[in-house]
Amino acid sequence: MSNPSPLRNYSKTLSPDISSKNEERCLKKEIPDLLKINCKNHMMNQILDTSILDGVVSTNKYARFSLDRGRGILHSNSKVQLCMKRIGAAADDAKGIFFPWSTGIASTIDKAILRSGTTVLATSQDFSHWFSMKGLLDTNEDVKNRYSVEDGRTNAFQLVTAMDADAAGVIANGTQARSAITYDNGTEMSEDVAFGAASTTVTNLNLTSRTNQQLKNNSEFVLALSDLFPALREFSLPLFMTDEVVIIELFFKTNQEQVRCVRSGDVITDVYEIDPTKTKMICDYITYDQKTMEEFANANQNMELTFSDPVLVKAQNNFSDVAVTAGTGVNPFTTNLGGSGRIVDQVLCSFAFRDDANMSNVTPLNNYLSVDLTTGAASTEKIDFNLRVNDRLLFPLDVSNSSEQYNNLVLAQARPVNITATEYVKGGFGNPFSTYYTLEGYTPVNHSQGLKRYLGVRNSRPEERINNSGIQLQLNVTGAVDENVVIRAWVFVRRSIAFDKGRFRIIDV
Amino acid sequence: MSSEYFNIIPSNNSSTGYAFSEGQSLINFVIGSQPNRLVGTSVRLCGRFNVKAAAGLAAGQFNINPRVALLSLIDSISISSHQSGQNIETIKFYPRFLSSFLSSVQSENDLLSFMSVTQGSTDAVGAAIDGVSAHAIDPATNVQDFSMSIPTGLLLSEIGIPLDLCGGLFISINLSNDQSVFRANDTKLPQYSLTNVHLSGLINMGSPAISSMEYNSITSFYGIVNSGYASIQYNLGLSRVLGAWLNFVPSEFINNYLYDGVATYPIMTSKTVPAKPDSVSFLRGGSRYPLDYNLVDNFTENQTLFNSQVVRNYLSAIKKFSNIGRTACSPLNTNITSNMATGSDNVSGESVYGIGVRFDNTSDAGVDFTNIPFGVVIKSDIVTNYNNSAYLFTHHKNTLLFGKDGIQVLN
Repeated sequence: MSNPSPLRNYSKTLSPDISSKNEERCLKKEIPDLLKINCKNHMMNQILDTSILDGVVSTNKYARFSLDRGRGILHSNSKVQLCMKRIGAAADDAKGIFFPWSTGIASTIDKAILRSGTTVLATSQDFSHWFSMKGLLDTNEDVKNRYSVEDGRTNAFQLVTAMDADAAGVIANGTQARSAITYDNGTEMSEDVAFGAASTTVTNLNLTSRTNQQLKNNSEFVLALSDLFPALREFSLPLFMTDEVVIIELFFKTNQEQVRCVRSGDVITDVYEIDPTKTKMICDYITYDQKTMEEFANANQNMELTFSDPVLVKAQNNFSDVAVTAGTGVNPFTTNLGGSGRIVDQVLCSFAFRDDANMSNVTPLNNYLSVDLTTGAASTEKIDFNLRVNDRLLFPLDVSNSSEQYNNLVLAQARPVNITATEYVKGGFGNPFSTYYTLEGYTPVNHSQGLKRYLGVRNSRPEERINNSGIQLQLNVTGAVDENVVIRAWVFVRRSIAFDKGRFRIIDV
Repeated sequence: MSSEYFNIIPSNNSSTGYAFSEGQSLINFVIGSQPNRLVGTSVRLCGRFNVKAAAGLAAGQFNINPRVALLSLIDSISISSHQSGQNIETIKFYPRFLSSFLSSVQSENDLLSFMSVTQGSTDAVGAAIDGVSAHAIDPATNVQDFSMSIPTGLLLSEIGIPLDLCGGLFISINLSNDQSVFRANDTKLPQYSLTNVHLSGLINMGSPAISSMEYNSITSFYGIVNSGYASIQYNLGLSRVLGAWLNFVPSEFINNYLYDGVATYPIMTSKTVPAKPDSVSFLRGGSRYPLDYNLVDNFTENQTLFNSQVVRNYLSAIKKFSNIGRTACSPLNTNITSNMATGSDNVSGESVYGIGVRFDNTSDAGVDFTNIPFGVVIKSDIVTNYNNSAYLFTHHKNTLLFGKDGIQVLN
């Protein structure tokens, strides 16, 4: 099992055993593996060319792209370009309408499908929720500097001056110190504190969305194919070997409230939708010299590309419903995630509000979050988490320690998850969200705290097929919040894309 | 690869938890001998941190070291073979080691995200007594779950630790006293206790037939700097030393509620005034090594930063400088104008200061100090007899040999 990278950082300091393992897996064979991601095939005579494709069908609800046949190898970092436009005259340009901070433009996509002919190779359902979770694997710096431009996300954070004010909002000069957290999109707060000679009155500082993240500005964003289809993180598609057309389908959301957020207190009448004229596919094709391509094609007429495919399982529950008063008692919940007969690598879970709940005017994250299921009112509240796999509990004891749950999430993802303590647990121990810095008018203490309580676990016995009982998710919540919660569990099942004489087919490993 | 999650409670399990103030300062874990391998990097010390409310103690009136955070609860850690009792690795002055280590190889973002969830770290203002608080702990309601990785050379080895060949592992954790963990007004003496303590992690099934494994380790020493010409000599008794570094704290700050005894202060001439080291030299057997010259700094009147060569060599002693991808070290906290009175500079966490050097930048084979003393000479402007505690940590290679008669550690 790989270690999260901060531990690798430790390890590289203290362990002599670290070698360049990434290079080992890319060791040149007689015929190099051209489809492996991040191998140093660029050392060879690699040619990269780009095509910008319009959709075969492109509307405000649906887009379909057909990729060029025979055009080398599809680079997994190829992009889909998307843009929103307003319908009708502007009425709300003075108000705040912006993309959810945890998803950016990805909030517009409901589902994405990758097909080869009629064979579905990969499907991403509830893509916005998936994207908000996987986006937490990006570093704070990348989110702030790169993805805020690329896909419109804003959920980087920063350490800010805590205004340690008295009840009247007055702070003495010299006591300001960076000890609170707020979000960071690289812009200045909209108001500033005018420091007086001896003291100053604190006013709220408001972080507004960057210009390009406001819908009224019709900014174009891109999403990588490897974000839309996680399988493409593990290999590239050899278009030059296929006889069938590879097709990408995007299904867009039409519910305004699920696509955008509005500034706290604003009431919006403007309607935005996907601009079909701006929906494009930016395809990068990799080719090598003819001899290398031919050798590879001849040697791989029958090949299998194995990957771990996240399959979405949804359930709904109100954890406080089970005959106990909200805030007290234990609420057991067990649901079957399936997976029977399959090889399962890991399970990731999120707990969002119901899809019909309008969250666009509640938090700048919209509903692309995972709520802490406890009320946060008492230290006795906790979530006991376990998985029953092949009639055995994965953990010998239910995991109720919130930090341990986070560590299991990190082990499952094999990378650090960019969540602060106060985002993970209500009343978390780390730096608190500053009450003086609002986010589009929302107070982060109330509207961001405990909203990234994702759970995850790596199956410790991935070589065992799941038996007929399937995988059971067990949650016991002590002091549950009285909310209808949609539980999304992504069960990573092993699959293969088999390539057989010019045609793809899917094999459930 | 097949593996199993484990959850081990202490072999000296306490129904009331663990607290230095109550004489329960030792936590022992036994990982039994079995034909499996321990994934050392997965091992976490888990539990719940409780602050006992003294009279009048409120949230924000006490604090802990911002970067080391709850890892400062561990005073020393020792790992030995359960069957033979042979010591494999012991790190003393563990919070002092981590104070250098974490600030050198973890960035502000690591401290604010990943490490804030697992151990309550932050890179905020230092451990102020009250007023601005890096950790707004409310003793009435705020208990904190922790699940901390324990950085030691053996546990961070990428090779799984063969538990059968080691004869199982005995991990012993000595807890720190309350005065060295907390900073608080001395009328409101906070105390901590740990409950639900357990060790969690992963064990890979199967054990390889290996005769030895190599791991890096830390050995610690203690000394005093109290004059303008400080000469510190140690017989390390180690054969493959990769680097050595010292960090400092005024001796009166140690085990004192009023000060943060974990922070890496510069050498001080008094409680609030940093000394200015004019010259630093590293010696091997009395000769300058590996730097053939002194690190000289002719402090100018307006100089605000520590000498960049000193900082660079210090970081490189902990991790090869060219490989440092993330660090909390910046001009903001390698700054002699920091407000030492509050233990912080109010801008970017506490001071990051130390003196160190890497002995082997190319082969990583290490340098032999078995029979040759290691020395550091620091000339500074200290004129008063003010005691600075100097903690020396050496980063060296060990080999663990497995045989029929048990294990043997070669260092």
